[in-house]
Amino acid sequence: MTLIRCLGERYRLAEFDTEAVLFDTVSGDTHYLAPAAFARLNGLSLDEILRTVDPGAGPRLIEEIDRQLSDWGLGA
Amino acid sequence: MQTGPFSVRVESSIASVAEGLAQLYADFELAETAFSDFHVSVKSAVGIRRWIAPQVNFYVDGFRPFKPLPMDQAYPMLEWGLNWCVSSQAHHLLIIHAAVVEKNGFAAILPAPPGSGKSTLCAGLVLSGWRLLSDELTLIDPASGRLLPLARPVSLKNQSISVIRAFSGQAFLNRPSHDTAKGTVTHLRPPADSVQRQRETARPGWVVFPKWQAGAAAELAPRSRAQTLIYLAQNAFNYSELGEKGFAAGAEMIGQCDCYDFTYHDLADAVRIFDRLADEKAAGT
Repeated sequence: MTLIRCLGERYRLAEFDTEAVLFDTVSGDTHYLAPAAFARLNGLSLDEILRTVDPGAGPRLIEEIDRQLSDWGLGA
Repeated sequence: MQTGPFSVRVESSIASVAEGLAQLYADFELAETAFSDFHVSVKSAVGIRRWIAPQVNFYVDGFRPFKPLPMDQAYPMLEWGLNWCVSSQAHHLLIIHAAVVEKNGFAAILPAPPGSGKSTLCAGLVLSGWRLLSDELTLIDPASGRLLPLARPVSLKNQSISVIRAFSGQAFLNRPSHDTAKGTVTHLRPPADSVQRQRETARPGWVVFPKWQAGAAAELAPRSRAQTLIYLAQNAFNYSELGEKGFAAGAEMIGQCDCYDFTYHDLADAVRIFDRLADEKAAGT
C-alpha cells in the first residue's frame, strides 16, 4: 500500500522508501523527489541530510533543492 | 466480438483481414448484444490509385484517424486501429504503453521503448505458460487497482519473427506484411487459455524494463519505484486526462510491485528468470 499524503490543497505526495513523487493537482505536473529533496521537504537540516541521506550532497545542492521547493510553494 | 472489457464490431470485405481474423481470433467469443464499444471497418481506398497501388483505410464510427496504407498492410492496420480506439477513448482506465503477462495471480508489466525486445519477451513468456493480458496496452482499473486483460494477438517485427518461430513449435504467426513503418510485421495468435480467461483480472506484481542485448546474461537489477512511477506517467496514454485519479492509480500500483531493469540475450534464460520470480512471489503469499 502506497502512502499518499496531501500537502495542502494543491499537492499530493506518494512516498517510496527514501524517495517520493509529487503531483501538482493544479498544473497536472508530476515531479520526482530524490532522497535529499524528500528529506529536505520533511524538514531535515543540511547536517542531517549530509549525515543520513546523501553524504555527497553539498550546500549548493541544498540551496537548489530549497529553491525548487520554494518555487512549488513547499519551502522547508 | 469480445476482446477483454471491450466489444468490437469489425466490417471488411478485404480477404487478408478476413483471413487474419479467422486465424488469430478463432478462440474469441462473439458478443451477444447488438451494442459494441467500437464499430470499426477496413476498406479499400477509392480513386484512380486503386488500379495502380491499392490502399486501405481504417474507420472507427465513420471517422478515419489515419492516412491510407498499402493493401498488404490491411491486417496490421486493423490491429493498430484497435489499439488506437482503446488508448484514445477508454479514459475510465489508466492505460500504459506496456506489455503485461500473468502467472500465479501476479502480473508482470513490461514497459519499454521500441526495439527493446518487449514483444519478443512477451511472446516467449506466453508460449511458456504465462497468461497474456496484452502485448501493448496495460489497462489499470483505478477503482480496484487490478489489471484488465486485453488478450489480442501479439505484434512481432523483423528479427523477432524468426526468434519466436525458433523458440516454439506451438507459435502460430499469420502472414507477414512487409515494408510497413515498423518493417516486416506479423501477429502471434494468443493462447486459447488467455482468451478464455479474458475476464479474469490480475494483481500487479512486478514492473520489469526489458532490454535485449547481444551476448548479455539474463539479469535483473532492482530499480527505483519513484523513478518507475515517473516513467510510467510519461508513457501512459491518458495520465494527464485522468489527473489526480491517474496519479493515485499509478502510485498504488507501483507500491505493490517490485521494479527491475532486465537485460537478456537468450529467450529461454529470460523465461527461467521470470518463472523464478513467479515461484518466489507465490511462495511468499
